[in-house]
Amino acid sequence: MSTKELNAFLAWAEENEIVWDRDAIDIRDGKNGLGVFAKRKLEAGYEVIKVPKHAILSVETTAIANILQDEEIEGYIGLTLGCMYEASRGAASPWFAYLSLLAKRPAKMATSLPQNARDMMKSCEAYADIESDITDMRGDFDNIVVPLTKKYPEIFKAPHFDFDAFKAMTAHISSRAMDVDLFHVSALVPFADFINHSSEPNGDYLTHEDVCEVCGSLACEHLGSEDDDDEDSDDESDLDPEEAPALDGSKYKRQRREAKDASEDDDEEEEENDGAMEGEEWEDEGDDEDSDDEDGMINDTCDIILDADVRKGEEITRFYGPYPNKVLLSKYGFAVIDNPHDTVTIQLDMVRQVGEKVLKSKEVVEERIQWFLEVEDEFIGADHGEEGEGGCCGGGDHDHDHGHDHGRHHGHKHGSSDGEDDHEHAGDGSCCGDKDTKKKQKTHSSEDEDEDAEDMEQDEEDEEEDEEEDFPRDIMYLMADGTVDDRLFMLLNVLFMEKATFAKVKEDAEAAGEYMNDIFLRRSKEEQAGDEDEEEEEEEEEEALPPRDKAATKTRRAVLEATQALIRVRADAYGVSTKTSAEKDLEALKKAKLSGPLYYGGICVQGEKQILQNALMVCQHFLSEL
Amino acid sequence: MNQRHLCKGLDCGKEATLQCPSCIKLDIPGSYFCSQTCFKDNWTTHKAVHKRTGEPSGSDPWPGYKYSGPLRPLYPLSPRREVPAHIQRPDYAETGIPLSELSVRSSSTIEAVSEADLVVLRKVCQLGREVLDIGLAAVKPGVTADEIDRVIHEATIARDAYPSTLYYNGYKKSCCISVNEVICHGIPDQRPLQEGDIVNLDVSLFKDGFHTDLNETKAVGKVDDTSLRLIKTTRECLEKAIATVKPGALYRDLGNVIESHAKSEGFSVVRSFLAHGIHRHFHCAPNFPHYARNKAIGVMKVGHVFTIEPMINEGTWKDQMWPDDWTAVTSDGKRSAQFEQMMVVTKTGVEVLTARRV
Repeated sequence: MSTKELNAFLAWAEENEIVWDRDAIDIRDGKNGLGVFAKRKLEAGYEVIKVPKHAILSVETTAIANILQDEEIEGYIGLTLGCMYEASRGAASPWFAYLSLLAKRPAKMATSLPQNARDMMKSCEAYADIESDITDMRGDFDNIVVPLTKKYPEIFKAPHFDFDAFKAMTAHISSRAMDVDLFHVSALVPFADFINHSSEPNGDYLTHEDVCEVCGSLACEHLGSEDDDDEDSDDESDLDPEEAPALDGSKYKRQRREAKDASEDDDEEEEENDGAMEGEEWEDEGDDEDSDDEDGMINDTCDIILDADVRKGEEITRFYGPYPNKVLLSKYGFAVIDNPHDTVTIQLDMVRQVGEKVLKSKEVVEERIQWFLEVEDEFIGADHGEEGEGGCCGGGDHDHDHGHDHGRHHGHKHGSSDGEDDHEHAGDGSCCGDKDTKKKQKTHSSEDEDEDAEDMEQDEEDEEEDEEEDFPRDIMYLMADGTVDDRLFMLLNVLFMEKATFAKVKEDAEAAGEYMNDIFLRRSKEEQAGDEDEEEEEEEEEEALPPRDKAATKTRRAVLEATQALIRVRADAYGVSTKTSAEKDLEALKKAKLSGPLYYGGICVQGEKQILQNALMVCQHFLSEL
Repeated sequence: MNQRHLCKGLDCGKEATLQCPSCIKLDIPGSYFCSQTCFKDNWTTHKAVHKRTGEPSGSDPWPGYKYSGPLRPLYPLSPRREVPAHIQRPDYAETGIPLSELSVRSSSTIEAVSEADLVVLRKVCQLGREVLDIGLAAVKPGVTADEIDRVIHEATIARDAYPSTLYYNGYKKSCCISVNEVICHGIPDQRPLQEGDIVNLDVSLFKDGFHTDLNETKAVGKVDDTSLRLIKTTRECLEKAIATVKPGALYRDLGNVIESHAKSEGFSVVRSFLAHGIHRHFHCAPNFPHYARNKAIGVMKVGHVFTIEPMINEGTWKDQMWPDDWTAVTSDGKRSAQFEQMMVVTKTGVEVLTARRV
């Protein structure tokens, strides 16, 4: 790793007003490639890096922003083209030093592996995702990039826009782009994007998301912007509103501007200023930002902040999101051993087949499945699973381009569509324009879990281009610990419940609700019972559930056996059973000394085997209890 | 010495560090309150203070303000000039608020003006050129800026056009007149032009739904060599920038050309004011500065219409604002010159719409 590029980058970062302390952190090569490391002990709350939004590379800062608007190219493709364009400008681009650094460190993605290497992962779910990524990439190149370069040959000059360049930049965007706000959506955030992922991170990424969608400011006069802040309005009628406006604690702006710019400072003037200066103490956080901008606006940055103390030499990390390995592999090019968010997919068709085999009636199966699909959303409130929501975006900060189910990234505006209020404004809405309220860009606060679970499920998987609000209903999951996700759990119960029970729940929504509550409650108790540490909680339970009656037991058995059958469909393909050992596979993998995408692909495969093994054990355990 | 303030609230005497924001805007000092609650409680009585006590007058309308250079305004401004009823007004003529500009969907979309619209726009731009030249002809030692504003205003309405600056964001006059260290947006007042001054006249018209905007700096009588060189260099900066305009060129690269030439003469480029798109809106996308290595977005396409209006300073690039919240002056008091043209990108390059047609 040449220090020349790195030093040029650091000089560039300083020039572009990125804030960091050279004595506190530096960028070096670690086991994950380039990373950010502490040079001394740092404490929780320390601001590691602050990147001003004018330094990021997004569809709104690239020179071809107007072309992307004119041609209505959005999402990851717009960002990729925008970055490719800047790269094609070479030293004339404002991001030259940063892009040069990236060019020297191409992202090693699975998509760049040769076919025979990818085939080694054929049994793994990531394989299908990677293959579809490659197909989609080719499709996007042929359908979007090529026509664009033909339409504007004076702008998109060969050879900077060929397929290899596109593939390379796609890999960078996929593995590096971070969410910023409602205006930029996603962007390359230089410096901050050198922070690597850890499932036990010591840092976090914060931005202020709620900005004007037209121009990106925190407070402006654009109509239809969410924060119509009238602090900067020159309209004289605002001087005497009905209610007293917010008191101003900032420096007397005009005098301060003169004091800054005038070559001679008048003593008289300074005395007048001192009175106003005391007002600064009230607005501590706002003041640092104010001093940079003559209009007193908050300096809006993308920040990396420590959540925990770090020692000297420790790498600073953050949590990219609760992604299963297949997503980590296809999007970021790595995978995590013993990933607690890992999943195995179970398709609706598989459920159908198992159902038909057991119930011996296509019509009954279809009837039950249809009813489930129609009403399942109403029971989302009944679920309480932490990891049960489809296994994708269960919280964590947002740095990913929505649409990490590969290929359908087009045109998705992050977070803005249905007015989800992602952070809490002060009651009168004055916080965004006035005080420095950097809120975590969490879309799911713990208080709104149920509501957000619904939003979350609707936002995450975007395979149907037309229905951006919906997720693919025909996919369900086995979770890392071997349990089934809530949807699959509900579906299996619906499928195997007694005829009389089904008739009742179909007619009576309240009865249906009760039924679902009951099965989920029993399930959570079972999970607690399985966990020796939770025994105290059992004693504190308000109501002991009555034991299952004969019908319920019958249904329960059928559900468990069907679950086993589903698992076996996948497990047999892998050669996994209760007698095999996924743990041994992991040992073997570690010994094989593979690296890069092959190694991570191996982790994906092993992870899935582990889940299937766990799932078989779980079923076996519960069946033995019946 | 630290000055402590006491709360202005009735029967309060607590130490106060927060100020009434309206008083700040109105330059009324001393309106300190100890807390928002106290402020709220006293609001109805306090706000009477905001009623203006009188208009600024004479050449010292803002006592205590520290001027960066020798120039002083001369108040009062003349009364608002009338525009005949038959002349079409832009959407801000009544309220001052340019609603159409604020209603754009995205700040990165740059409109391409159609051929049909260009026909109209060309005519409006030529009218603008006529009016500016009439204004320039009126520049003589002894003539006040206000008189030139009258000349320009009358020439504008004689052409059945509305002077675009009039009431735009509350601006009270029909053009901007910027003398010596004033960079731009000087408000025409009662000060007579003096031999040795340099003066910029910035004229804009609105007619048939379109705006035009152009300016030039002229020497008043005989001026010193540096001023002559400053004027000449500024004009050249504009011409060199125009020469690079063509489809595929980047708006952010124009600054490189301008700054390179200004620097070669030892001058600096103002950073705070941008060039802008202009057609149905007075100011719209693209917006870009005139200094080197800037990050303005936008690639030029056929049909884009915009100004280039470099402001070049004798000394520092830094600017500050007079308390009228319009007049921008150099912070070292040295002189500044500007030239502005409006143009459209064509297939082969550029057509300067406001060019003097000989």
